[in-house]
Amino acid sequence: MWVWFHKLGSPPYFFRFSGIVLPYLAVACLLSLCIGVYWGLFIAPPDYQQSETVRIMYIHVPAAMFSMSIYIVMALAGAVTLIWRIKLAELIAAASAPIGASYTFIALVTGSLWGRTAWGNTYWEWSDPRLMSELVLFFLYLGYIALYYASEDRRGAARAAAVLALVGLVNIPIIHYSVEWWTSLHQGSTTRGTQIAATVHPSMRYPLFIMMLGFALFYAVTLMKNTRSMLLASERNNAWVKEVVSQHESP
Amino acid sequence: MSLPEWLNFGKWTPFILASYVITAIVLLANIVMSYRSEKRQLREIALKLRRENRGKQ
Repeated sequence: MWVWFHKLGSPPYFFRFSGIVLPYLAVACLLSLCIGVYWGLFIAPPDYQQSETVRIMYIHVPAAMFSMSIYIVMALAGAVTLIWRIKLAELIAAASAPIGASYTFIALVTGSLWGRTAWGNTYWEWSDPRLMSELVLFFLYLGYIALYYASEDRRGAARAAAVLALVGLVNIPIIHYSVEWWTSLHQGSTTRGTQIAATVHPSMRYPLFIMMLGFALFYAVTLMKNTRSMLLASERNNAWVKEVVSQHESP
Repeated sequence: MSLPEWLNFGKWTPFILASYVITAIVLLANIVMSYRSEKRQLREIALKLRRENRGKQ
């Protein structure tokens, strides 16, 4: 397993490996998202308190959950970049940032729409700790992207951005525990560990799990695709890239 | 214009549909950009290689 991990760190091996697994992941992602959306919108029952608006949960919860998970992946890849200077880790961190920013944007927008139906006549509450800490996460992603693309020296920029990612990591527990530490309009956590089995009925839990799987697979597919194009750009003068391109060119 | 019955979620329809439509647009933009970016890289490198080969001849 460890040897395989080491091999995966090699750009040509990653390119070949991702080329093999990508079609399967893409099909699994499309299937789970289609099934999850259909189940969530048309089969799952309305909530006894929130009625039909609970259907927003099937996209809001996975988007919010993975907005934080992707940031952790980005920060870990940043740490690997700083400690071992592995090129692939730099690219994985940089490739994760736009996907994480998109998930955070989805979580903010769907949360705002859901909040309007649940909290009354407001889309946004500036004093709410969960909303504000999630907004800070969005700005951290944007800051990371801006910093990474600010310099022509990509490797130097990757190290600077890795420091920002690691510093910003402090925001993750703040987002997670904000509903417990402070008074918040946002409801308390119901999807932590085994809690979800006790708090969410199976008729809603299964479509939620399928959507979570769909969002995770979407991240995997987009991450691989982004990393592949970044690898091609940064290694364009290497022999393996020329070989890949000539194979791609030949019918 | 009225929505079909199966897309009707009562008074909350605009909120629910807006959430799903915005999510679909953001995810589609992500996947299209990542696929196009790889294609563009491959095309640019192929062009560069062709130019180099012509230079050698």
